[in-house]
Amino acid sequence: MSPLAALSQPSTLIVAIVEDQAAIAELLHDVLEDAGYAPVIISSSMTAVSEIAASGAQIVLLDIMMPRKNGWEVLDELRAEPVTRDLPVVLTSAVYDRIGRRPLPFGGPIRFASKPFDVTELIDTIEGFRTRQTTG
Amino acid sequence: MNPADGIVPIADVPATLTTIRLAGMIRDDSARILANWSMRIATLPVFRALPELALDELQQDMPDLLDAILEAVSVSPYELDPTPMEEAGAKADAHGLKRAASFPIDVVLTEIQALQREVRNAIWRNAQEASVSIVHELDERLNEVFELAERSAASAWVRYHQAERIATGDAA
Repeated sequence: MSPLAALSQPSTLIVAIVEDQAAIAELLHDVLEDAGYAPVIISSSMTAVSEIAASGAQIVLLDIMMPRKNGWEVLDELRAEPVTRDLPVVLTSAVYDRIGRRPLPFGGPIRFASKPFDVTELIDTIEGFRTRQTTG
Repeated sequence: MNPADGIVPIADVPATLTTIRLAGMIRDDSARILANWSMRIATLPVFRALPELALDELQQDMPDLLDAILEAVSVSPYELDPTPMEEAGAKADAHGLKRAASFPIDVVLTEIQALQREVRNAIWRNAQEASVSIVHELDERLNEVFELAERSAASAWVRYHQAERIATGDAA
């Protein structure tokens, strides 16, 4: 089953949180868990792609501003791997201007969330992926 | 004046009930308020520079302070019990004192102001069924409680640094 088709299934969605800042990762984990998702924290961008693939994640929250390897580089790697190419991704960044000024690689759908975002709106964004898939 | 004398403030009972109900709805929204506050504060440069900082260290006394503030805001204006306000002031004082060891005063003030912003967002988010005058009344009470919280936290921060200067013999 493709990652997009899996979104329309009623099972608990696995959401990978790729975030280097511990407090934000923990916060997103708690919020997503309370909302009924199965969140997985990935704190190192260096191993993010292999960890995302191993976790069985169906959606990825990807921080852009990370040390050593930034979110754009991780996104390029995700899109280069057949297993993760079609995964829906929410790109998050505290620096608004750096979002949307870069050509996006081909692959699964991408949304943006500018930090600080309202956690309820983040849930709506994630649900939007599911609705989009269900309604075709 | 003793209420038993039969002289009590004239209250608009339906409006007061609506205000209390709205305050209750905001209390139900406290998890979202705290989460949004945490997200806002975590993105400040001073906290971004501390990537290992855990969520409970980031929040420190904020969950308790938020509870105390919402309790103080929820109290009817005709209620004479000063305890909720005192409690909110005490929690803000405790937070300011703990933050003083590691953070500058502007961070402490920003934290309290950001919390007020999130509570205010929650008030307006939940205000659909209330009249604007009721929201304004709640908002005024919010200002009063947060003014106290900000002053208490800042005073505690100053107290800590004054004590530190005396301890190191650096006092003027």
